[in-house]
Amino acid sequence: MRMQSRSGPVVAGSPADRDTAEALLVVLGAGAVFTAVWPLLGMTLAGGPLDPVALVAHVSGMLAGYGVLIMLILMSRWPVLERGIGADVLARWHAAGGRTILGLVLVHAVFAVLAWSLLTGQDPVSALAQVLTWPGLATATLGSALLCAVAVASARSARKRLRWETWYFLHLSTYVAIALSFTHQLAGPDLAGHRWLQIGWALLYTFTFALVLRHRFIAPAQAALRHRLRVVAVIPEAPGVVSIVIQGRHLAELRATPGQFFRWRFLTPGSWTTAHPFSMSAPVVGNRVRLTVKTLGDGSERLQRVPVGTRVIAAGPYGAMTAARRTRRDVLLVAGGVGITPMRALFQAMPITPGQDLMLLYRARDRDQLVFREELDALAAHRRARVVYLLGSDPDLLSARSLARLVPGLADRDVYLCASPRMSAAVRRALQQAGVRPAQLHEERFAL
Amino acid sequence: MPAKRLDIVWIVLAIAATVLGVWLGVAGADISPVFTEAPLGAVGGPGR
Repeated sequence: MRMQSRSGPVVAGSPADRDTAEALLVVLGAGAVFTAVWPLLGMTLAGGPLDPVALVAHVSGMLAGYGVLIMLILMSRWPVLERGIGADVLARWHAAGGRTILGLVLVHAVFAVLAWSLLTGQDPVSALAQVLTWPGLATATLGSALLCAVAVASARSARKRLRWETWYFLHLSTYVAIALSFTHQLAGPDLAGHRWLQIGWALLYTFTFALVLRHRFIAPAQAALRHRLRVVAVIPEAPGVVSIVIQGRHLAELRATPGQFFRWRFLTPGSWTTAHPFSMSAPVVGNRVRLTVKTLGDGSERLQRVPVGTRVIAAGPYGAMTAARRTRRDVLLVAGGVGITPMRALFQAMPITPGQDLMLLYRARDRDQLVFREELDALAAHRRARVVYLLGSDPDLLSARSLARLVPGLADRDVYLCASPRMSAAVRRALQQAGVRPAQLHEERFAL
Repeated sequence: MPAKRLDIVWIVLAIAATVLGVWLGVAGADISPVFTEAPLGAVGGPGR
């Protein structure tokens, strides 16, 4: 563990944040190990031969119940995790974990019925009918069906057809699925008869929901009352891209750091139901903050015409792609398309002392797609930094050879990257070939 | 909000979560006699 002054300011993405987040992950991991081992322990203590079919059913069930908690914690907007790990990484873990949990639920259901069928000598259908009469089993089955529906809607092919807002509200029904399965968890044979374990399990759930309530619902409401944000300007930047300037009160208290983002909820009739994550495209100055939005879906399309004076609720700041992550003397920023927004803020605020080098590579399809060109040129001149515009679709623009030619001392720089998944993957490969180690790469991935 | 201020909201939530969690845990024991009569691993129980 790295040493950190307790009295010093905590900066987003700092080593202290990462240490805290990693310690939390270790605790959660230890909980998962205990949860997986407990059914085996229970069966062993009960004596008699182990039933492998039943064991699979119980371990998968316990892990599914615990995994649901982890998924909720990852998405709770808990600052410890948001700053220490990064919202984009948490979202990817959540997506992968969600698929794993669904698999565990299905394995649990199939093996539990099979185990009961083998034990009682019934056919599986009769065994299922009997199992469904046990406490909480019918509602848990409903919950599992709901989880399956959400999983189907979240599959890549289905996501492309669904509006983001539709998918989001469907996804929220997982809360209902969790509630429906809770009785089965408490009444299930792994916890039954162990009152303290039942209480402990229930406390895990209630504290997790308290965490979600605190950071996903109450914190934005408190911030809305405190900061009273309003749109004061909407500035066209490029075709389908606008900057929205928002003014409020006490913005310094937010301690928003360039490279971070907020989840913005614009209180207009068509937008108030959903909050969208957008990075700050410039550091907070006084009581103003700016974000820049490209049309990618219904929500961002509506924001192109958001009226001046609109009230805004902002949750955050989130994200760990900040200057605090820096480990090297020289810095390279790589932006693709609208990924320029956090890079624009970092390009202005990244600390640079004499002898250090700051460089920005900005990839866009053509000159018309470039955003902030004048600002970037002015910042480059003012800060004695360099900006290079890479226009066109030639994949060789981002090859290891091309990057090494453009960027002196590439292998010994910190690299900050924000681009589409495809471009990010290409840059990641090229950087690896050019000798940049993973620890030097700091990125935030956004979906298109 | 100032970061170092005592988080009263969280304290209230933690108390509520504790009361609710203990109540649910105790209720869980009450709703699971079918298993406690034949707990995991016992002959005739769901784990065997």
